[in-house]
Amino acid sequence: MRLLALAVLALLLAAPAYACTKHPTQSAMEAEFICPECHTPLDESDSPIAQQMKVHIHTWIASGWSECRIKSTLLAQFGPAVLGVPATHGFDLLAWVLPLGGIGVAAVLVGFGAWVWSSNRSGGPAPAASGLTPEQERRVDEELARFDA
Amino acid sequence: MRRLPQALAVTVVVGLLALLVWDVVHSSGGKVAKEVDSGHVYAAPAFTRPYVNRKGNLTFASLRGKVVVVNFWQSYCAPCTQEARTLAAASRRWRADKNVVFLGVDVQDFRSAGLKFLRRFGITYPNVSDDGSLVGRFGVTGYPETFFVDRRGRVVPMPSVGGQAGHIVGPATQQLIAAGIKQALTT
Repeated sequence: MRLLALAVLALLLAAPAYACTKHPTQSAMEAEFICPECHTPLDESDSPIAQQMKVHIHTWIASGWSECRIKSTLLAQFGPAVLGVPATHGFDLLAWVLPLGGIGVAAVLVGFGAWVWSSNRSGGPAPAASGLTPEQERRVDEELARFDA
Repeated sequence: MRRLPQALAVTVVVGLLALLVWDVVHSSGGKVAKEVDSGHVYAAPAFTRPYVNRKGNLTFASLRGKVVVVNFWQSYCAPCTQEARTLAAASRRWRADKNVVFLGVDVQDFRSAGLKFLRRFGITYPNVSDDGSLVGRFGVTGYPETFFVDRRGRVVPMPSVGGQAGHIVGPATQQLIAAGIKQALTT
């Protein structure tokens, strides 16, 4: 359980670091943004503004801009819609909260299920190993003894 | 025991539906355009945005006391290119009237591209840039669109001219601009 918690923590910490690549590539950046005019991924769009954005991204990468700097510059000009992800406020916040909440609820349910299952196993009367009644076992033993004789 | 998860699931679904209804009811998106196009006067959203063709920011409230012609445009929009000279000419025509100002809102655009556009068409009135949030508050659905704000900071409906009423959707003409300004001046 501790190992799982550590792995989740490591993933959470690694996410922002990954989002701030120092030397992004043109193709990676184009795949991250949405064309504000046609609302398709930038790398699939040839609209005038998409072409302008590609030229700017190319220039910025050549100037050594980090992924974060490019992102924040485009966000300032085009708003959060350019990232193609739901906003972190208002009703759109649910898109972020619900999956995390779902994972939490699922974890609780799995934990509760496991607890119920394990307590049933330890608390109930132990069944016979073979599932036979003592009378049936005696008869089977007798038959086997006959064969061995 | 079996009823508890069912009740929880129903509660969650009802809660989400209630949240959706609340969001739809309280969302101001599109309300300005809708109200004005229905012939109603509606308070213009308050905003502060950076200038495109000047330094610093513009606070919309600073224009209170004047009729404001608010034009939403993009440098990469073809109909905006069609109307740009008309707007430039209209702003020159109304320059003598100190009660009327023009304000451009360059939406989701690069500042360099916006500046190039303004210079190309000789537009000298103030223009601000918008990352798309103001568009949602005004209820703009395409470009260009033009609204008329009266001296009390209210968006007023333009009278019906050539099939257009409320606010101008598409390239503005001198006739439409004049009708909108006159309406805003009289309210």
